Amino acid sequence: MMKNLHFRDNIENFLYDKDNTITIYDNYLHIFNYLRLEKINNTELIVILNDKKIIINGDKFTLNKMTKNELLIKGIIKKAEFFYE
Amino acid sequence: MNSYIWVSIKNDNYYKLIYKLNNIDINILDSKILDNKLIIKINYSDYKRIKKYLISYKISIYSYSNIKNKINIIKHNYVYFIGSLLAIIILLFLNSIIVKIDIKTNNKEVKEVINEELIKYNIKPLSLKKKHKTIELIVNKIINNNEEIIEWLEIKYDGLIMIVNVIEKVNEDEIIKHDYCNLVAKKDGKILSMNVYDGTILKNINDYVKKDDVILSGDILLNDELKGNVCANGKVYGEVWYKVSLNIPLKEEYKEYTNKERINFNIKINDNKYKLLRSRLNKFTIEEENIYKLNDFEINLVHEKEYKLNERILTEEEAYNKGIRLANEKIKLTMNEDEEILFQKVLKKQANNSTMYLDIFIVAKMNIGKVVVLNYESNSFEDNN
Repeated sequence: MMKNLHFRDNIENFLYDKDNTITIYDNYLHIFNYLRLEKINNTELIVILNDKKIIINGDKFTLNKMTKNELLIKGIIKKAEFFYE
Repeated sequence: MNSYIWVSIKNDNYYKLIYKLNNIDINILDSKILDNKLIIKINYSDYKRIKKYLISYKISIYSYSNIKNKINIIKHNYVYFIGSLLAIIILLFLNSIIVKIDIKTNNKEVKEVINEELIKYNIKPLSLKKKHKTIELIVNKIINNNEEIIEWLEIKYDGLIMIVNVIEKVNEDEIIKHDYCNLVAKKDGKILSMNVYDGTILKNINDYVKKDDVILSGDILLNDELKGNVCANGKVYGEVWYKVSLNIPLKEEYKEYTNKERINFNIKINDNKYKLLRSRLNKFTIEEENIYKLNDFEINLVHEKEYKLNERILTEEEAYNKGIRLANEKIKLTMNEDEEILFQKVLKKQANNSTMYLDIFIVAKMNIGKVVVLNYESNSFEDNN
């Protein structure tokens, strides 16, 4: 019974969130739990996540915040594409 | 505690730099772009890593952003901070001690008594200042202990000096009383008003008196018989006449300011002034502005205003008015507040090319009474008792 409730996994997931979150609001793109930044320039941004790759097209991309887990980019976002590996 | 700093990185390619920063796992908490510089807020340990890996970039600390790094600033300028701290401590210490005790009395006995009393309460030069309430208690105790000689006592601080104001108790036996005196005229004049406090009136209002004439007598007479003596006292105002002769030069010098002004400083120590900078103006007037004062030590800001002396010829009217003004000023120097000029008239006016001669007659209302103390021995009065 205990095994079915996944207590350990739930607590671990609560304390150490491994889920990816991608948020787009106003002129900001916020990505949580990314693996690495593959490419960044004025019009294109490629970010690698656990199971997918995101390609964002737009204009005037600038970096606001970049930590091990989080990425916050400001710019005009025109298109977002997801590629599952 | 994490210590964050703002780091400036000069770059030609902004995106390439970000990519590199991401590759070396730098945590950027905030960023902004300034010209061709990327300003990023990072951890201090990351700064070291950037310096290590991004050798080709020009990297510098833009600003510190938390207390720990502000402490770093203090560490780099510790001499200045320690100096300031010491100066404040010394100032506070100096402000809390008494350098000198100034007892405001001429009576040596009272001075010694107060000094002894103050030492009893541990108040002496180079001792710590007492609180206001303690001082009040000490003052009361000193007055109570010395009721026979001290009427009133006040202790206050003026900077580092303790000032003791004291009023001595006056022994009534020591009060000098004049038992026998006359009030005489100290100038020639005509009596205008009299306020008689004591004595026999010998002169009346509108009487003309000469210098040393007795106005109020100390003799008490009854039917021409001397019954006793008093000290004649009162206020007698009389009309006094003056004649003032003046020579007014028609040529007058006056100052014309040139709008040139220089700033200087002077230090004043015990009424001696020392100028800090050499004055570069020829003729100037000064205006002082105090900027620091501690007891007898002062630092003043001095405004030196240049002027040149010009000459002008006075008109007859201007010279005349100047003469009247000077004559008035001359008479007023000898007058008190309750005395005044009643009338003035120019008796003679004579002008030539360079001067104006004036004879001015002035009538003033002045106190003409003067108390003259008399001795019983030198008087013919016989004591009836």
